[in-house]
Amino acid sequence: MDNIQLFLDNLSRAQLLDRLRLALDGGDLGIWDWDLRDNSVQFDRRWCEMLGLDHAATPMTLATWSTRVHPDDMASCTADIQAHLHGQTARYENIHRMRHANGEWLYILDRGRVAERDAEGRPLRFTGTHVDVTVTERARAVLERQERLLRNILEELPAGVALLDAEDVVQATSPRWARELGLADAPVEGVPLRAQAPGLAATLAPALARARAGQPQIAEAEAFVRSDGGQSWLRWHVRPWAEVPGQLLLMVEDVSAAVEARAAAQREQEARIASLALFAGGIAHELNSPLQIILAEAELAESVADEGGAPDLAAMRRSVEVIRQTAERAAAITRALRTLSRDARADPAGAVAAAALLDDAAALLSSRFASGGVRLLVEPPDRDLLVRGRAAELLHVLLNLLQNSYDAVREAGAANSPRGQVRLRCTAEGDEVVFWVEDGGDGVAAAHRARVFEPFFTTKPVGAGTGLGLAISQRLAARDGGQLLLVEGAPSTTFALRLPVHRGP
Amino acid sequence: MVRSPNGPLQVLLVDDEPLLVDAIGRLLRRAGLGVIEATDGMEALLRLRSEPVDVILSDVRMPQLDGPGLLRALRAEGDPTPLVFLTGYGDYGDSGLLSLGASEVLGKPVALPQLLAALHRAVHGEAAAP
Repeated sequence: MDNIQLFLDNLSRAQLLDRLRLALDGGDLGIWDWDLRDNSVQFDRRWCEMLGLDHAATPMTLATWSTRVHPDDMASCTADIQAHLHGQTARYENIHRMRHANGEWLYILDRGRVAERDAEGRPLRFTGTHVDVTVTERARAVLERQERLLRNILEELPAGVALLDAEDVVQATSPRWARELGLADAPVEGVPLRAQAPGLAATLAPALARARAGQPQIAEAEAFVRSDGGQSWLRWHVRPWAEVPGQLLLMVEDVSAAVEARAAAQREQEARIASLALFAGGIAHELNSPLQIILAEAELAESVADEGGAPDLAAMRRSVEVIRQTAERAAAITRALRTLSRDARADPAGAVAAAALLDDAAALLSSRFASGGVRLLVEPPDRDLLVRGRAAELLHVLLNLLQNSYDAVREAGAANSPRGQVRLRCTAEGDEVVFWVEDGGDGVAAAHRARVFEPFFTTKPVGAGTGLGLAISQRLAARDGGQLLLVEGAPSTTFALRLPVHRGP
Repeated sequence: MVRSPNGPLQVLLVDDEPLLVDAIGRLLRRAGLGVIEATDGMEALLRLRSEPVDVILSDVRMPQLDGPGLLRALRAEGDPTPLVFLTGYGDYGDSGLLSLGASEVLGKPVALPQLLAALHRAVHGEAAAP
């Protein structure tokens, strides 16, 4: 096209038209010549044919062109023409759509320049060419769409991608590359991997070598020291880049959040098992006493029945009554144990009766506490209350709070004294149900109050203090919108487990 | 205190479960034994001061004074009354309890014949078991 501009620059208009017609006959250039004095436009035969028009029948006016321009493209087209007519551009160039006689839209590359001005510099004639660029425009649109798609895919991938050359210099990266590695805003392309992520380069060196030998390498989670000194967990994948031998495609994903969540879940599970062992371990004892009572009463009833003469029905009735009562007590214990041992992690939060939680806690702990000289006082709510949560988890939390209270009473030397008690209450407060666990111990030392919910914090001797721990209890409570708090200003230690009231079915 | 010379075996039954004390107490009485009841070690020590006892049948975990505490207190006073532990814990073979001087450690639940046998063994020695 630049050659054509040379013609335009150096030849008179008449010469130009002749030469162009000769040179470009049979080519794909259509020529227009616009007289701005009367808005007549000379279109050549090729110009007309391009748009499916009969040259002989085509009116040689500006409207022939303007009525065929796509409305959406008119504004930009007019702006470019005006800019050139006012001398702001050395030449006019615009791609716009024009309607072919058959109704299809063609992409026209329209170029031109003012060929003649009057003494005042006002443009008189404006001359130019049309080229049908529909095919290339369509190809470009397809390419643009594909590039956009590729870019979006790269951006949406949960991984940063880098192309490494044979020397491990980063050739190209996806936008997430720097983000996943926590790199500063420094340029990454053209920089060796070991310069931008030394920790990663060192870790990956053997994997990169194996990948170059043709074996893709993958790691699910590997610790990685970021350049800011922090530690992340990376999932990475490296494979030979098919386009160029020696080049590698490296994908990295920061999976720290998932790794940490897994570790937390693991700790939680271990704590749950410790808690289960703590409370279920004593169950044999809790059940052996009722079994002893049942066995003794059964032997009594049998011996009464075996007596000669009329059996003492009153004595038998009494034994049977004690057997029934005691079996019910044993059933309450096994029911609580069933609640406690359920793995509720996958359960949705549901409606849990507050009174049932209190019953379960009492069934599991009352007699154990009593044997240790600590009374467990359970005050049920004054009406039926349903809380939202998972019964197993809530029971674990309550039992652990109660066990802590029991230990606190024993440590304070308050067992077998009027202070030797642990109180479990339940009250309704607006949209919440609150479980209060209060003990007669010495209270939490001021220095420890702020720390009781820290993971691994304990004042108990080594080996004791297993179970859930307050940090995990707090997390379990928070899972369904509850809260576990150490009540400020209470004379002795009081924990409050606040849970949302269950609404709906 | 003093052992009853020829009459029925006198048993001091110590457990913090009232229903259990009641049931085993009636069972032993029907079997012809004399029974004194106590709900923890402290009460047991008081009863021993005033009543003749041949053998003690005691729980392990109790408030105030637990079973091992009771046995230690007795032996410290030079009281040789034999003591049989009856415990709900799984580890009733616990040598710790035996080394304190317990005659035997029985696991709950125990049936009457085994219980009687253990009490007699404790009082009369292994050979005199029925």
